[in-house]
Amino acid sequence: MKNAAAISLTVVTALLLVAVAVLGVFLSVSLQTQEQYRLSANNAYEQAYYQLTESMGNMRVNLDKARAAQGNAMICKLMMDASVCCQSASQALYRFSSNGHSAAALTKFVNQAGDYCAYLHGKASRGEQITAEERNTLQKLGDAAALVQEKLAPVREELGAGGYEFSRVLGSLNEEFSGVMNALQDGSTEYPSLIYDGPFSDGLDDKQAKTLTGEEISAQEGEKMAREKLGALGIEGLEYIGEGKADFKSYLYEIKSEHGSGDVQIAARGGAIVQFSFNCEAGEKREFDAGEQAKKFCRALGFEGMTPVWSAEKDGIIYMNLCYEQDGAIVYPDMIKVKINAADGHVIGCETLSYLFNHTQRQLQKPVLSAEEIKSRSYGELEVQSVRPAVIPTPGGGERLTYEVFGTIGEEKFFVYVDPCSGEEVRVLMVVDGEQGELLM
Amino acid sequence: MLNTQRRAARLTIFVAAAALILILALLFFPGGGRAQAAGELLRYGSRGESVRQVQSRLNQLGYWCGTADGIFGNNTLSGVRRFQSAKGLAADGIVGPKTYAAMGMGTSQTGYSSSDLYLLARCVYGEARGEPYVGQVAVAAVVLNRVKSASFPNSISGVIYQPYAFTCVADGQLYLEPDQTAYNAARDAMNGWDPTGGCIYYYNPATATSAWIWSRPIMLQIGRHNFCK
Repeated sequence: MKNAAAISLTVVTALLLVAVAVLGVFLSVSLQTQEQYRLSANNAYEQAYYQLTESMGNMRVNLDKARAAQGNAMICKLMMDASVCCQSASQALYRFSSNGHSAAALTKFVNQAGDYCAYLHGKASRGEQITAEERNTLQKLGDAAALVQEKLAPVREELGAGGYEFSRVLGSLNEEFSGVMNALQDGSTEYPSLIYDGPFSDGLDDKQAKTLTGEEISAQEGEKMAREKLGALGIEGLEYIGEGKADFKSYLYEIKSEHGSGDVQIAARGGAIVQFSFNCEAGEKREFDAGEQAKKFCRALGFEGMTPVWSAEKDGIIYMNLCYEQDGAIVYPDMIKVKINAADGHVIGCETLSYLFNHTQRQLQKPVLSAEEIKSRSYGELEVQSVRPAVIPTPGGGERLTYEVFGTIGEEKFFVYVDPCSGEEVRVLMVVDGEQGELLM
Repeated sequence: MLNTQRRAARLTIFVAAAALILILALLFFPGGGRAQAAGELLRYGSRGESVRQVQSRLNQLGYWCGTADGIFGNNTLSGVRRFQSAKGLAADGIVGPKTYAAMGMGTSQTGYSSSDLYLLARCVYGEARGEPYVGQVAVAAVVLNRVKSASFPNSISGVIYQPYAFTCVADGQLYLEPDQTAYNAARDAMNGWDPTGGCIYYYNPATATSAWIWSRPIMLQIGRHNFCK
């Protein structure tokens, strides 16, 4: 019996030794893997750092060179090079977003600077002169890039010595490098506001809603107006969610109806519907005129003169875009989007923000060229189907009158927008099949 | 006494063996928990997540088969058959490898569509499932507002995968399969719906620890989220 107990003890000891050995091997492999991940993360940071310093240096040089260049061809080249450097710097900076916002200020600088250079490139390529003010802005952007370069430089010395860790704690940059990321916020350089015709223009931040001019209403009055305006949808319940303060004051309500549950947002000034949407079950499409349904709905809300310009259907839901039509011209900035259930034709959503911001009665210039003259021009392979006047938005928040030329090349569809006076092309859009139906790109 | 010793020895062996098995189990199965990709054979009467994924995919592709409820009933059968006929497959109503492949789902996770809408819907589901519908549209709108902002990457994938920008990416919830509500919310936002009025941040005040995010002026509160510019 003693032998049996001794054997048991030996087996137990052996099993425990095996367990400890396996655990030891596992821990060793884990630690090695962890070290490899740490090194790999630091290498990625280092690569991004080198890309960032190189891009900032090249960006600065190109911006400074522009001060000595006069010809439009050279300005075009330098602005294109600077813009590419900004894109490269921007790519590198995404790596340094340790918490979603740490690199935001510097990212904004390089994206705006790149966009500004692209704007000047466009201007120079049209044969327009760069103004003294624009040259001054370029110089300030170059100075700001130089400052960032200066702040980045000490890190390079430490990298050379092989001892710089960008992130000691998962999810946060080390304090010293966070300081570099805030280089433009310590007041040592003047980084100008950039107002120009581009999507990152600071001018877009100050936009006012042109149509919101009425008296300010209370949340209770807003609820009443929402019930009145959406009464045809069979509202069963409306509950106040809260107040929105972005762009303009608004009230948000949860809404229940026979179409499901959703929300409606009312502008505090005047009580216009900003948006509403139901999350409801959709179904197979039945035959009905979705454009007519959307127009009827817009009229009922008080939006007169709207014309359907685009629709996409997917998952049993139709998204219909309508634009205001003035003097035969489609005004794209005054757009309202209507969502329709394909199964029964009921309107289940609407979005009016673009219309609320932009709608006004415009003084449209008389085009020098007629629609017939535009149609008779050559567009290469493009087989022109139709031409109509259209007001289109510009990237910096402005708008311009054009002719919209719709045509096809084989199976592909295109919209070409041309200047009504010179016939010059100002934008080309292509219709592509996407996950959400046909998209314009 | 001898019996007691024998019992004690057996118990010790049992405990040691169990410990060894547990250690080995921990070593060789460290992960788990991630949603499985669709891949099993599905037919009339099947139930579960794979059925729901197929229903959701068929609905996206325009072969309406009712609400994605995870039950392979008559509507799903009809949807699968219509899809198979349209794709030139045998219309047997059984979802196997060929039908999965034709749906763009494959039999592995990597075969699924990686379109922006799908990615955005996954982000909405990972970040805001359980929130009211408008809260889900708002989260999708924040992603798209970041795409338009100079301070962030200029693509949906760039914004979503920006390091530590979204919790669901860091903790793996981005890999959960989105439901129809998340899809609808993502599609609304991509079509221009934005209840936040251009917000680029949001946080849950019950869990947010960043002092910085608390310093941002709140523009709107929906469900458990505060939205800021």
